[in-house]
Amino acid sequence: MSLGISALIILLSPLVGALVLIFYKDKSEIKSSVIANISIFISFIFSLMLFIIFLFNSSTTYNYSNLVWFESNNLIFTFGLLVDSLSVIMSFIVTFISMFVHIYSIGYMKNDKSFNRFLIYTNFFTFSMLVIIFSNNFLQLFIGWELVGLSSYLLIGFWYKKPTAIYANMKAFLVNRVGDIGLLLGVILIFINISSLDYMRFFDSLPDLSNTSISLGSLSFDLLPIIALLLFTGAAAKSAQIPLHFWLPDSMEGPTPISALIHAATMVTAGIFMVARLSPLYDLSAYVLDIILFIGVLTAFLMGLVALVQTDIKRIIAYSTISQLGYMTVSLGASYYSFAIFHLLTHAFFKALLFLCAGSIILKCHHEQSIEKMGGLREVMPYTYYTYLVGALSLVGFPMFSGFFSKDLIIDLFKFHGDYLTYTILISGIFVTTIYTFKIFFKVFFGPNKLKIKKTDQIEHSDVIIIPLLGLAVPSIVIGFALFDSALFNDFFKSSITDSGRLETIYNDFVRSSLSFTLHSFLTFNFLALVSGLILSYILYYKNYQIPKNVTQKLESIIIYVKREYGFTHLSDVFFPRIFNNLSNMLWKKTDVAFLDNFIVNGIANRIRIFSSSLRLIQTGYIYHYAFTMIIGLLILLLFFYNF
Amino acid sequence: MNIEIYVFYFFSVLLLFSAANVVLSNNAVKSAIHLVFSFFFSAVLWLILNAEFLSVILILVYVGAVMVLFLFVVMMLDVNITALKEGFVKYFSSGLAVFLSMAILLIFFFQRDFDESDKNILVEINVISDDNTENLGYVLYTEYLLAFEIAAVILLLGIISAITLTHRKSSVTKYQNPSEQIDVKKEERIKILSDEDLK
Amino acid sequence: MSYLFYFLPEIFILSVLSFVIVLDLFLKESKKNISYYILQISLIIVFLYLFSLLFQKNISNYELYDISNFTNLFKIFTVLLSIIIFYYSYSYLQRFKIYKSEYFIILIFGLLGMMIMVSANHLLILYLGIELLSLSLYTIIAYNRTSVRSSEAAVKYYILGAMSSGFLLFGISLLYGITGSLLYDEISSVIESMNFNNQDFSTHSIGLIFSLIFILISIAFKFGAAPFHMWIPDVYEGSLTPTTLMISTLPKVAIFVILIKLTSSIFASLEIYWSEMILILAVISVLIGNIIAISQTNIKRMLAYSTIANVGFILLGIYTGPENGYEAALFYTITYTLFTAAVFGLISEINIGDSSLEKIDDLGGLNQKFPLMAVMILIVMLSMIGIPPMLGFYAKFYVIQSLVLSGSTVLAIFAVIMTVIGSFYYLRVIKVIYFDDENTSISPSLYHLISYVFVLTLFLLGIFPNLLSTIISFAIGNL
Repeated sequence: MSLGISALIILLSPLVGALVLIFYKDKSEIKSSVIANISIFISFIFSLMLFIIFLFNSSTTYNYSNLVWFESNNLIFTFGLLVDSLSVIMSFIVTFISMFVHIYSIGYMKNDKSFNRFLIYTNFFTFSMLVIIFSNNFLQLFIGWELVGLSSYLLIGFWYKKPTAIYANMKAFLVNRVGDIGLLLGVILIFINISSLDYMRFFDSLPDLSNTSISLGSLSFDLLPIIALLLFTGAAAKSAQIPLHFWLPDSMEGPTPISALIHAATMVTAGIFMVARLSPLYDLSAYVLDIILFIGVLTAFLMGLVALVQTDIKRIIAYSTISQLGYMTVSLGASYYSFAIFHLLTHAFFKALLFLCAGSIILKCHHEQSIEKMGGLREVMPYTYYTYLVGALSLVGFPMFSGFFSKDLIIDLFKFHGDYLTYTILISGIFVTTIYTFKIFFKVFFGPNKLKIKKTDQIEHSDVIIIPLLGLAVPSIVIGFALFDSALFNDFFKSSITDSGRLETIYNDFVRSSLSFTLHSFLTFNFLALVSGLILSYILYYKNYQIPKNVTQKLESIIIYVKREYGFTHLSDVFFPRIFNNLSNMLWKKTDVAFLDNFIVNGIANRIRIFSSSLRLIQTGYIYHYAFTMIIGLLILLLFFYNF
Repeated sequence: MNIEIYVFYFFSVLLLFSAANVVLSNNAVKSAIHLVFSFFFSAVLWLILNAEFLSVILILVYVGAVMVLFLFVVMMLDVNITALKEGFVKYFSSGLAVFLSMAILLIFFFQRDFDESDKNILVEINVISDDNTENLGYVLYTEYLLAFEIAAVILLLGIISAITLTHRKSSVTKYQNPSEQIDVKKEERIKILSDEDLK
Repeated sequence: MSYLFYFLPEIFILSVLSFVIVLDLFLKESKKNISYYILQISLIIVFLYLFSLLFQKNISNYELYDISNFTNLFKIFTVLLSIIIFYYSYSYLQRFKIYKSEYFIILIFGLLGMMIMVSANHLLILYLGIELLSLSLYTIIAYNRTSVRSSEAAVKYYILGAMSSGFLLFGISLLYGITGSLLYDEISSVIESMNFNNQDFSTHSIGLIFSLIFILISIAFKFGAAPFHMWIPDVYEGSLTPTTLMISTLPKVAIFVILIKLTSSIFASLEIYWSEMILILAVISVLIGNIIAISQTNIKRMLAYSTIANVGFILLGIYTGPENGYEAALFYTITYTLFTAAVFGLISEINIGDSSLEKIDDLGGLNQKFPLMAVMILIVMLSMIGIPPMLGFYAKFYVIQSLVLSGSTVLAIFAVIMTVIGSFYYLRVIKVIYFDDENTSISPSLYHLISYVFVLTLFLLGIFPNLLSTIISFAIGNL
């Protein structure tokens, strides 16, 4: 019970914060941010508490599903809370990052007129994300899903006077709609078949459903793979997987703290979370896992390449996020859901850290975002320098850093299973990741100080910017190691995810312990790829500036091709809009105006209006007419029911 | 028994006649007088049914008090009866049709269903004695006390409603207030204008 | 003596009333509002008392009077709504400087009448309760003596009401003649013993059907179901806005309760007859209400026709019978009542120049001047149409669902089509508020926090419809 109450507090505290901010008249920045921070802080403390409880005893789950929302005969919709290891770890991630991002925003958004609005949105976002995390049924999941979509839309377009921001939030919204339709169809299919939306009911009836099939015309499909695929469409859109990934780079139009919170650490992982949550379903939908694996590998490698050719610091990190989400998807596709969640956890910390570092750099460079124009900031902003280094090493998976434990685990998985093609692609992914990560590092912090930024007495920015950087740097280093043996391979997810048996096998046969895993890693291709990537980027971006230019000239056509995301940009920005424009123009002029409007809608409306104005004349205002009507009514009823 | 039937029919016919005259008469005073008659005849009918108390009350209250007031009002207002009768011919036929069909329906109904149904009226009217008045009083203050009280509340509401709707301080009426007249001061009676006010 | 406890709320209200009537005579003109406050406080006390009764089992030993949890819930609802109505009336009367304590005294009499008629287990008590209510309504409609329309409406309602009382009495006397009793239970057991399922009708069936028709018509009149609806538009238009607020809400619930009490006790074995009668009334009401409302320009008249249409919907719910129809109908009634109260409350808070709001077009551009007020009206109107997150959606959903479940799919389709037609006139209000040119003379009263809280509560109820439907199933379970 206390689990339920703490979960409820975690869930509602950000909402209360948002509501208070809405009705709070005094728009002073400090007071607003104090309210927002306190509400998130309460959530965080309780999440931390739950997380510690679960670390000691991960088998306690709490499932409350009795709050009936809407009930009518055979339809019952309930709301509930599901508190288990998966939701606890997710809520820990979300509230942790949300808290530091809130602190960071105080400094970053200092002079913005709508700071209050910003805080309302972020608090509301945290609430919506927690709705997804703690939901124990598909309805609540869907509601949370739409709410995070909404808050993401609002926050991308936060500077709504900027045309690019409006374009970006429109794009994000539309792409997510595509995924939402898939998700909704999946949920509807589930509801039709088991007439309940409860997770547990669904899992219990999976054995029965595995024999069910649906037929579409003469074709007949197994039900479960279809549901799994439809739900994954939603996950793919939210987690920016090929081919629904192209909204994420554009979403960088929003304020940088938002990029860190929503578009790197939390919201984009909702898709991964959902698949992990529904692991019993995905275990039973064979070929869908192959599709997921394929998409994941494609995304992980190709988007890393795109990151390589970008120059905007935020866009590089954004593509890197997509690529890392690809690694998580790969792990899902291999049905090692826990590894995906583990990578999600470490990734959330170091990627949020990298984004906040980027924000700090951008702030220092007076909102210049191109890394080509930056340089020599090592002296100017030491805190950012070191924390960025931590984040970068974690991202590339340098041994002992957090990212290493999660990412190398996923990659070694394929070596363990003997899938060498995937293994090779993923290892080249490491190589690419290292190059672009250190490209930023060398270009921004070394070389000549092109923007002539002076070192000030006050080391960098105010404390509110430094603290989050340090606060996120610590878990970026240690959390992977800390949770590797004690949580991931200690049956932490046993009660919530179905892959514990596989985990045990891989631990006993391959990993053995975190230390041996680390020591062993120095002798693998992973490390080789990492080191060679490091050396190459050192040569390219630090030592010799001539090579990239030559390479660029020679490979210009390829680079342009990669920059256009292999044609996806064309598809999303030109091709589909044109088709839809033509289609909707046709529907508008021919169908809507000519047929629906003039004939059906206006036609019927006009008839009824004429009928109405003639019928109103019944009401004459003469009392004897009224009385007469009553008598006639009486008489008709009497005659009608008189049994002669 | 036989004589009761003849009395009943005699007074029923008279009742119907006077009731029709209330509606059809051209003169409002005549209508009112016919209404008095119809009350009187129905009182006789009640008497036949052994409801002597009610019939006396009917005459006392309605004939004695209500109708007198009614007559007063009619005489004071001088209602133009011909204006009220406009459209009489126009609606007469349809009214008649409705009236006839209602009447036929009801006659059919009573003919068929109440021929021998008097035995179904189960209630023993004579509760404590043969005296109708005494019985009525007894029932009223025991079994129907609640109804009696509610009726009293309705009357109270009637009084309040009547007062609310009629009694209202009119702003047009001029009246003297002696205390104010005495309290008045010199300054309030005379206002001395200075030159500047005149400009 | 112990019987007195059954009437404790009524006795308390009546005592306070008598006290206030005397007290009011001795109050100075400027202090008359003390009477209002005393009455308001007494209502709150009654509310709390009734609420405490809810948690114990109440079985009346006094057969004339019913104090079950069902009637108790009704009383709680009525008193609660009365408190809100009093608030609106007071603020309105003060604003237009026509405050008199008698207004509230008469309203309380009406409230008393409703409590009596709902609790009645005896046709005589029922009749007296209805008369008490009607008399107070006649007076309250005529309250605005300066307006010709007001007096005219009162006279019309009075004459037609007298006619309907005549019908009711005629029906009751027929029933008494056939069954020899006025108690609900006794009548229903006598009727049951007549063996209606038999193909060979007993001679009394026609008598019973006659009495059923007469009683039903009288109730239909009070309810405002077509073709006995003619008084509604005139009365709504003629009376003051807070009076309209009162007439359009509380009596409707009371009459609805009477209707389901009678159909589930006295006429339970006559269901094949009354359900058909109610169906006829329902279809005519929905049709006439929705279609005539379209061509109205006065907002109160428009809402009058919308009332008729809503009454039709409620009757459609009752038509489907006790199993799921009553619950749907009660849900609809409560929803309709709450939102009508909200809309009339909001209307009474808006001034146009020096007078109150009458024309729909006068609301033009309310959004530019008072966006919060516009949002409130928007919420209420959307709910009246039946747009999903609002309570009105669930109300319509339940009724239509019960129609489908009872196999009357055609009626369900009819109801949906009528809802679509009905959305026209609600949407027009929204259109006027948001898209028309600004009417410069609009000025809402200064203080309407209560309206906001009220509408917000309704909105939240819509988000969690199960709260209301749980209470309603509890009420119907205790019927």
